[in-house]
Amino acid sequence: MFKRLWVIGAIAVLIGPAMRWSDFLRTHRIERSASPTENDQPQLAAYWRFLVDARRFVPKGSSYTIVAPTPDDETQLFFLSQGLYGDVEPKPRTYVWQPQPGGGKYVVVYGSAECPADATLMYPVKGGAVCVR
Amino acid sequence: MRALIYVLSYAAFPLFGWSLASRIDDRAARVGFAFLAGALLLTIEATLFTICGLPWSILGLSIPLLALAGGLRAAGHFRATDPQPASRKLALAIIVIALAHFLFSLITTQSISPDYVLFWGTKASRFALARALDPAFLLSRFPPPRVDYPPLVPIVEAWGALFVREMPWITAAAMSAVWVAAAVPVIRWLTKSWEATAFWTAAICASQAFSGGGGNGEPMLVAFLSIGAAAIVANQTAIAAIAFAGATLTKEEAFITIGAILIGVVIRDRHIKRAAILAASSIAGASIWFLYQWRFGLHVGYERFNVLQKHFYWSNLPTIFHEAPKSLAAGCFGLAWIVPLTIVVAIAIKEPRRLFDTLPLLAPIPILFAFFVFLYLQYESALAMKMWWILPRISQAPMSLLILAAAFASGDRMRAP
Repeated sequence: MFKRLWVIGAIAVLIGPAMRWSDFLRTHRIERSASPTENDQPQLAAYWRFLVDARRFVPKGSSYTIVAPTPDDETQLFFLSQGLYGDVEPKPRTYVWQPQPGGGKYVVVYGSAECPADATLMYPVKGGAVCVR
Repeated sequence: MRALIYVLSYAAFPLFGWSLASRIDDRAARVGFAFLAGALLLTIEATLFTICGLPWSILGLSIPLLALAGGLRAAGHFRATDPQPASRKLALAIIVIALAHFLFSLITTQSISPDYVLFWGTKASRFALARALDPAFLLSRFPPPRVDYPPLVPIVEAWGALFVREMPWITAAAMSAVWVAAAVPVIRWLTKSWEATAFWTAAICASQAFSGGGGNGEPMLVAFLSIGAAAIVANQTAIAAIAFAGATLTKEEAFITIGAILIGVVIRDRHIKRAAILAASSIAGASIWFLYQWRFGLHVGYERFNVLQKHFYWSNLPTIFHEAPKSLAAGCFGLAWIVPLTIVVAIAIKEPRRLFDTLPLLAPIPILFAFFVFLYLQYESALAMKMWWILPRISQAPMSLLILAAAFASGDRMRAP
């Protein structure tokens, strides 16, 4: 009796995933995702795509600062950047929601294409810009 | 190509852990357990390398582990394969569909944890780059979140990155499904039930996909804890000891679950010997990490274990009981709980003695839920949102224990000789 109950129960459990896939396939195209959280955490995905696009303008061994509209954006962008900019020295403007002194040679600006006044060069990227001091 | 090489790098784990799985007489279960044991041995070795100042390399890490596996290798004694009744084929089909659901939820980025991009994967990427459990990164002015978390997850994720030099982020997170897949034949071997194993796999995969377990510590933690707890009931103490050492090197919550399981072990055994062995192996696992923390001047222990706070918000109780069912749905309308609970209740009514041996699996469930309520009573704000973030993941261990308890109690293994 229990063997049959386990099998029927397992099939019933799979109804939830089947409905999830039905919803997903109705609203999404199957394509290669641009970020690990593309279809679950859109805000983190936007940060990720921006940082990946900006990375090509920030050379290995240099230093970088992230500028974003809010301290929350800057905090999360900084944590994501630690995995993507591992060979670059971090000089965050905000760390764990707290302002930090100093700044890097490369200013990675999220959410706008406005560079700091002391930046001499700008590379536009998707979602922002990379400015060079 | 990079993704393929990363995937293939995981094939080394069963080789590394083969010697620790030698007592398992089922081929698939031996490979599955060797995978978990290999990841544990790699974690211990990689941590010791950094403590001793040795940089990681593929050969440097592989040779000692392969030599150990070769030196201790037992003769390949396997039981003859069981005949394949129709129910086994159906169970296998359910297992394959469940694992495919979890795997494709990860590949299509529906179920990858935010914590993976915020710190688990970040640590892995940095450790691979530094070829060490990089103390300079963990002690820097700007460390990643959760510096005190144990190292198994980032070391395992970094292992593949050593082969490809750059982290294939989505592929690395998708490998979380391999941990559940590796646990499946071990659970089948321990419970002796294809049908219950199919249910366990369906429930765990639905829950992992629902709660966004990809790249996070939960798939590893649930695999280690489930195998460890099931091995206790199946009287495989050495397997349980190895699994619990793996669990404590995966996430610090393992200590709470293992402590609750050991209460059940003491009640069942009516003596403390086996619980003491399992407690010692759990502490020994975590001690490798504490030794690293001590060596490099980090805070020794787990910072989040300061659970004894001053104030309880009793007004949180209605929210806790209102929000819990939603978080316990496990991606399957709560069936992952309801079905095994029905079986346990039916057995409790008909043959309650069959539940006695499953006490190490059943006793932790109320203890863990009491602990969750204890924690949630201390939350000052945003309780509903925090429960929604956390409870679907931390409830996976008690859910797995309930399924395993029902599997053992309803199976042939528990019948009186």
